[in-house]
Amino acid sequence: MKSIKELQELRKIYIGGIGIVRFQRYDDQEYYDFGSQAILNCLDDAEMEWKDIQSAFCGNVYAGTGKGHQVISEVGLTGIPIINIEQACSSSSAAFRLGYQMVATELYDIVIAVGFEKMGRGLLASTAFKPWELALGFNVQPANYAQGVIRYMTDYGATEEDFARVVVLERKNANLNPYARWYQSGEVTIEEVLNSRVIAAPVRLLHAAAMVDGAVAIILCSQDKLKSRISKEKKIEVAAAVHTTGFYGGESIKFKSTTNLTREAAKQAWEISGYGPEDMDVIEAYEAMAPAFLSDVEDLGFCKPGEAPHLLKEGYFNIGGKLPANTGGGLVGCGHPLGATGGRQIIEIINQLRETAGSRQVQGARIGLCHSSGAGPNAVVTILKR
Amino acid sequence: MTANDKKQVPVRPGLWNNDEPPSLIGSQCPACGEVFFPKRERGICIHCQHRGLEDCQLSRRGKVHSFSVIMQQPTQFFVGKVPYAYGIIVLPEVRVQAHFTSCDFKDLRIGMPVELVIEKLGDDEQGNEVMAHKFKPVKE
Repeated sequence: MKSIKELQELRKIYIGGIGIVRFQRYDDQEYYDFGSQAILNCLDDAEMEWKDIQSAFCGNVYAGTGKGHQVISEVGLTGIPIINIEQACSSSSAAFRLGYQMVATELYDIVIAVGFEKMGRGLLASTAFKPWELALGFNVQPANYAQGVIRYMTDYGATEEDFARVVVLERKNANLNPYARWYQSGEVTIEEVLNSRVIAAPVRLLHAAAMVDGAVAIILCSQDKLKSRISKEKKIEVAAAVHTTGFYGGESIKFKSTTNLTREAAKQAWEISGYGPEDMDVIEAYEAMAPAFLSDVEDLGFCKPGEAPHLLKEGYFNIGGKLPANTGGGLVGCGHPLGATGGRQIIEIINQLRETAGSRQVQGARIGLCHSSGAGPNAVVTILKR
Repeated sequence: MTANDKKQVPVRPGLWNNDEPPSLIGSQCPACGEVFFPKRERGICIHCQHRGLEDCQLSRRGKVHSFSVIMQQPTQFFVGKVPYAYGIIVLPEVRVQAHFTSCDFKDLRIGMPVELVIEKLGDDEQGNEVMAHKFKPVKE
């Protein structure tokens, strides 16, 4: 078996193009309508045609059988392998990783990773819980986040104001992102967050990413297949794409898990890319509920456990700060169409490295990291460099 | 039908025994000693992959590891009433997820000693009383 690092030395993989539709409610459209629009936007950006695409990897959670096929049949029928991937909220970042591997191993030269989601209206029944767990009401995602949040507060002295600052930062950044749910929607204050209603103490309504619809598409290809001017002038290379799942230990007393899947994914990504946390110019950290941002940046190795609240307060993660994070608004600012979110995070990093992030541009950004997580559990870490 | 005719059904069979007072039933791995709750029906140890776990009785007292108070109605499958509180309780053998009861949820704290009770969660569609394992605060 060849290691990823050995494969990477065989062939470098680049971003051929990106496409996205604004994250918002599309009440008058089905998932294949705005999903196919993201593909068309991606082909336009790449200056490629659908017949150039050799395989498609489609991330989605809630649409049914053959969902990727339905989206792609709106664009063209070329008989290529279409693979549907469900990895909860990390579906399209997992799809991106699979596409990357297919080109890296020289099975294909040009593939597309797609993510799309039309979110249900109202509360969603998750199939990730057993019937008796649903009867007990153990399936409340904010409450499951809250279990970790209350520990974080107790262990590190973090406050409700610290969590509110994550929302303030992300809603501020979302104002500058034309694809975000909360684009040009005004900023929120710490007080507004603290006054929003409690969903599952200490998690509040304004901590939660809005349920919106959305779609993304990213073309991955070998260097000789790059076509558009921007993809050749601002060449973005995949430096690492890693996927981990749960490690035993969470329910144990005797055998405590010393390996958290996010920490392990980051560790592997540093090893493969040869970079470390100090090399990153811009990052995306996953937070379907705002407080998770703080523990994520710690687990990823950007600071020590318990340090993130202080760094956030002093502007470390601001655009213009030492390590700009979630510059497009994160999940809280963009909204969270499950199957599209991972790809949206990767596209934000690509825009930053291409210097096409407009008024939210991080000056001189050349290397970026994207972290997604999803129920399962899954953690996906992607490192991109220009 | 009067209230007295109501049948009591557990939220899931096999979570606790019929002793007085009752205890939760877990699985223990004879190979590595690891304990699981609920008992693992397939009998496979997810730590060392040994096949053939044995039932074990869990301690009735433990400490609160984490908790949340839920203010929003979950799905239609939820049998209880909002607001409710659940969290992780550390028993000497294993961590257990359960509801909290017999307290003002505002008083819940990490590290608080708690004890097992079997209590009504709510009524199911057939009018049965659905029973669940819960933990109530106790003095040290």
